[in-house]
Amino acid sequence: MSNSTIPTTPQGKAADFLDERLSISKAIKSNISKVFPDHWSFMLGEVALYSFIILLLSGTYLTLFFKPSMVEVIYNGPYVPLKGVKMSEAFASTLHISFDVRGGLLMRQIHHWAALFFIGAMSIHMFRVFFTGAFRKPRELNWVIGTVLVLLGIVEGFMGYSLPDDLLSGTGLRITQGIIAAVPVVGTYVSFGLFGGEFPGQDVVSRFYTLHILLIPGLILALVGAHLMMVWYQKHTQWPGPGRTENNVVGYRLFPVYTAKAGGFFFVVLGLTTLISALVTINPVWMFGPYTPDQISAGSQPDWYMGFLDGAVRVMPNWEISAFGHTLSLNLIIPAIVLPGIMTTLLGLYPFVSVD
Amino acid sequence: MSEQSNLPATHGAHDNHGGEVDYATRDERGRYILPLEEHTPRITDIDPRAAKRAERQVAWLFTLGGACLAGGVAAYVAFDSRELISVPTIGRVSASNFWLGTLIGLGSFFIGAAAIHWARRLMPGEEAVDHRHPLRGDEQSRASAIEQFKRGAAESGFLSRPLVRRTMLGAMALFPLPLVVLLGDLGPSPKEKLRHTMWGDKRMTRIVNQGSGELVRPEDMAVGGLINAIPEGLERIQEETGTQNERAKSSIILVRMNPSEIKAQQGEGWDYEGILAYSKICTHVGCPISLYQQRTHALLCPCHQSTFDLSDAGRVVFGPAARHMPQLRLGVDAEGYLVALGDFAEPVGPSFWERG
Repeated sequence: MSNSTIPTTPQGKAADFLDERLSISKAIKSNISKVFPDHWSFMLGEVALYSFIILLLSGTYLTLFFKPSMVEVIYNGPYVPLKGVKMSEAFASTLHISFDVRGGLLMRQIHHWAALFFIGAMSIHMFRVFFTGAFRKPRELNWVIGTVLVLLGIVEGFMGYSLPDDLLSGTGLRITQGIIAAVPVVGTYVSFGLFGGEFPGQDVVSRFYTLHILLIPGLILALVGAHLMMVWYQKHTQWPGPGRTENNVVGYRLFPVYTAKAGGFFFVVLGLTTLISALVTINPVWMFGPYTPDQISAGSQPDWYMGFLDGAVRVMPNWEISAFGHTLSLNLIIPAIVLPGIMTTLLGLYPFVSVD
Repeated sequence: MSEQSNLPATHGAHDNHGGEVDYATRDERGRYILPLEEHTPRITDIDPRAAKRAERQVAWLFTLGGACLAGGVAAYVAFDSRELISVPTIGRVSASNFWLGTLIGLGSFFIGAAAIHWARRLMPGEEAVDHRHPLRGDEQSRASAIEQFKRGAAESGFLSRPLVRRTMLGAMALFPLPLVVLLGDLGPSPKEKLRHTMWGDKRMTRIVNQGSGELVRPEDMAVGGLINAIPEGLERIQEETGTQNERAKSSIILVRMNPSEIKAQQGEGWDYEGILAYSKICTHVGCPISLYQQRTHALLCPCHQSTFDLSDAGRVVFGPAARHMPQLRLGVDAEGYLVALGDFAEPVGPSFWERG
């Protein structure tokens, strides 16, 4: 037995090198045969994870060409309808990515589609966890992390589609500014702080850029790590069935079956996202044109995951209170701040208030 | 493993650690537990020719994936970013985007499909069983943890030296303060900026047609007509400041109606022979409005459907907006150009706390 662990092959020597320094044999011994239960609904979280990886990769590519600047330039690229039009460098570089960089349009569309799949998969994954009761003890904390991840995903998506500085995204920012300004006491100051003065200013794209490519993805990455570690440590839930009890996990081993299945599934998700991005246009910013605060396209809509907020803002009665020299815009505070606050608080606390 | 799990499952499957899992017929809550189903061998488990066939299928999928990826690289070289092709049902699209995306997408998909096919047909098809270990620490660990924590707490003197404790808590409470204060220069103080537009800079400001760039004369406007307009000199201010801030406040719409149709205005005689000037920036959250129904004089915001009656002092007739659209007082100058006589009487655009 002991002879077999004296390395002779190059791989053996490499493993020995690592084991002498990091005791990897212990980690491998106790993890490599870990059993995971099998069910199609367990792939929803995987879709979210893989979409996030696709977002990191495609996003990194886009940063190589995107210029997060609101300095005005005159467009002189190959897209004829906008030749000679004044626009921000952010929008001009988005056009450059779309029309001059080979694969640039593909990467933009992969990034946008993957963002939609990311939030969509997280949402459906959350439904799965909710309706199967998988958030219950001992998994309450992971439910809370999941709630925060969905919220961060929505914020990250909103900031991302604000960056190209096209007519649609600028309209979204305009609405955001109006909602921020409605916040009592500090709203005007927060708005001036975010936009570097009055709307639209010159700063919001570069500020959102930093948040979009560094701070928020960093937080998401850290929380995804924690989320997966908890799944790993607490072991995956399983559907009831023959041989399945509260005290066991029945399924296939991490190595080799799940390594191949989950690894292969990443390529399937990547492949389908890429195919859809090649065949179905999304967010054709060149058709919207650059942002200017005195123009708008009829039927402006946010991406679907902001729809509940936009809808709430639409159906709210026009209540506004003006008294003692101050204005309280209930028509915005209630649907855009109080409502999502209550929704996410209830969502996050649900495992602690629900009864088995 | 395989010979053991071919035994009738009621005799017990084998878990990761080589121990017997005892399947009682009922669990601790009295519910029946069905034994793990006996593994049904797949055709690839018993027929070497079927296994060989599956092996070839996996190899073909990998080959196809690799070929598509190589094709993607070829497409990168072959197509200029500006070349267009006609694709049935999709239309004329970028050749580079279409071929890159289709080939890389298919390549990635086939690789994933190969790995999954490999796992499903050729890797172990029997389910394995893992124990779930209790997450709660055993009594000994818990006691030891508490004891060590108590020892450390006593050694630190945190409880026995209240002076240190209280000053530390006080200092730490102040710690976030500088971090917040340092954000002060994100933007200037709002002061009165939201209350003024450049219409108030001069006693009379000529009005420029936003589309044509020409100065507006009353005779340019037919009854029922609408013009999107800006103050003369706006372009220069935009050049100087490098922002669209002024445009976001001072854009207006001009409409002309029969003077007899005007029910009310925000000031006596603010129209000029039936020509009315209203802010274009919605008082709800600031979208620019120019959807106008000349029969009803209704101005509809495309963002959240707030509707204003321009024949009735810009009154809100529908939707979530709480305030009327601010009106400008019009006149003509010595040369017969339409002019605005001073600023709006109130802030334009969305409400804010200090608005009053």
